[in-house]
Amino acid sequence: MLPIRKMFRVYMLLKDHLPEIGKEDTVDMLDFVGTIIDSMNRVGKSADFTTVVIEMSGKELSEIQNMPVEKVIGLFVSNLIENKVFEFRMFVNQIDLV
Amino acid sequence: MENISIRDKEYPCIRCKLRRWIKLEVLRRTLNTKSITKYCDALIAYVSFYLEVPAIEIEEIPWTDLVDAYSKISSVNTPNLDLPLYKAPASKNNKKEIWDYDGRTWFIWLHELAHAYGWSIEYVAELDVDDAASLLQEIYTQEQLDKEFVWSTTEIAYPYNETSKTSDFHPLSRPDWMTYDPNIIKKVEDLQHTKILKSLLPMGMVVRQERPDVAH
Repeated sequence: MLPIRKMFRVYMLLKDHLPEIGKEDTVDMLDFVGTIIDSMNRVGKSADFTTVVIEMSGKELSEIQNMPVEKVIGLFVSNLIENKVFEFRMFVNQIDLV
Repeated sequence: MENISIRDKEYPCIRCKLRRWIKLEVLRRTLNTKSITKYCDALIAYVSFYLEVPAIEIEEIPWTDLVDAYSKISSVNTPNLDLPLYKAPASKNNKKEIWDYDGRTWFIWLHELAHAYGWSIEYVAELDVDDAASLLQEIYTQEQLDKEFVWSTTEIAYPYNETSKTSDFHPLSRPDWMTYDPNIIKKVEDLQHTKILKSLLPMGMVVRQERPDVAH
């Protein structure tokens, strides 16, 4: 799991694109990632997706570029879960920092 | 007693004694920032100080462990008493005095307690924060009551009122923490003053509201 400074860096890139999900909601992963990517594209920040995957997974850009799309999406989702991004959003909202 | 686990190592989470508690509290206050970098610095410094683990090591621990450690440390070190001394609103004038220096807070507490009770540095350092803060409040209360007594024996406490042709007692004002009542939102001085035509003023005897900040 990421240390706090890296987590803030990742969160700052993601915060405006993360959909709201209730605790009881079931989520279709493709829809979920699609929502994030669409949102990033809309504001002209599509490169942020790759940056987030690199920051969270610790992989090189060339490595990501050579991976099949499904694998990149899988990596993105598994890292969101592993790094507890939604819990981090709750924490940031509690401390009212950003 | 709860433990704090950092990278498979367990640290006991126990309440700090006064000297360490003050240092920890000073560090906790640096968390009141809107800068992410400063917030991370403060959080890492806080946990690093408490656990006596170098900041460079705390820097790398998973964010959930860091936040969990902070939450446990902060919770175990929260004062248990609800003292009026804590409740008074912080002074708006945060200007540092010219004689201020880093770490002065501890020496202020030490000076007050050692001066009042003749205790040694080591003894004061090992006090529990609830005991120390209660005693500090007693010291300040006693000082204020002594000052009020001396004030009441001086001429300036009884200014001459030209209108009533008498000398009215004018009590010494009390510090915020002795007058602060959370139910009273505004002080009398802060209320908006509106001019009213003399013809519209009420007739008869006017009973004024008691001032919350003045002893009666």
